[in-house]
Amino acid sequence: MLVARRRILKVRREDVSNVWDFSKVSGVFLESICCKLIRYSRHNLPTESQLPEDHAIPRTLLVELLTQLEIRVGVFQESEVYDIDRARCTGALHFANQGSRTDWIWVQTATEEMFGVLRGRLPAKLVALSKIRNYTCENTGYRVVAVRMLSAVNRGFLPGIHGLITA
Amino acid sequence: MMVDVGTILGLALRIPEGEQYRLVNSRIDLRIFNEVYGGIEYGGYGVSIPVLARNCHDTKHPLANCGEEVKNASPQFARWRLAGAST
Repeated sequence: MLVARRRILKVRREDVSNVWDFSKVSGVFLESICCKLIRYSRHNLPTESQLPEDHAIPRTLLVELLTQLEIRVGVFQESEVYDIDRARCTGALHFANQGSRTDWIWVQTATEEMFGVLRGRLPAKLVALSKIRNYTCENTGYRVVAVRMLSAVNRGFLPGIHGLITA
Repeated sequence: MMVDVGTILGLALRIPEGEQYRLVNSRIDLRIFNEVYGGIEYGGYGVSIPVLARNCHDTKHPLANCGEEVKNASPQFARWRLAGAST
């Protein structure tokens, strides 16, 4: 049975309000962010909400950067019991009086037929948690997560009997 | 890469295994803990290990630094356990 996963972005950073700030604090080049946002819009948004190829509009988008993502996940072998996973991505900021914290997450990147036993899921390292608002298109908002994804070697199929997949 | 927040399934937890490898799973249960840290005596945690491992804030815990050590991990050498795919 599929478990309904609820995701909540929390703990907003006050020093980020646009793509320029986003680039500055995340250390990702502005042009790279624009390219990735355009690609994201092409793959995830309806035609009328997609960003144009020109980088002028992506540069002016309003951005909220957040540091915590709550994900409701089902407890192992329990059908009605849920747990909350808290993935954190603090950037250069300290977390709990220690160093910065950047968690790894599982991402559903393809259908369950892909990547063998991984069933379309791959691990990725968080880069940024954001809410982006496109004022040029009826103030459309989307919740976008920047990640550094691993890829599955051997398409996720077991190479031997040790029970491990290589990425 | 930018992905929609709806595609995120949960935390991935990693345990260092040697110099080049990391075991990745959606949870760290006692069986995995015993396999990886079988020779380490670490009293006082008992069955609460999975919870502590998730947060990794306790610097005394043997898994406390696993979040930092992967910074140097080369993705092509990372390995992970099958159990992680069953979340």
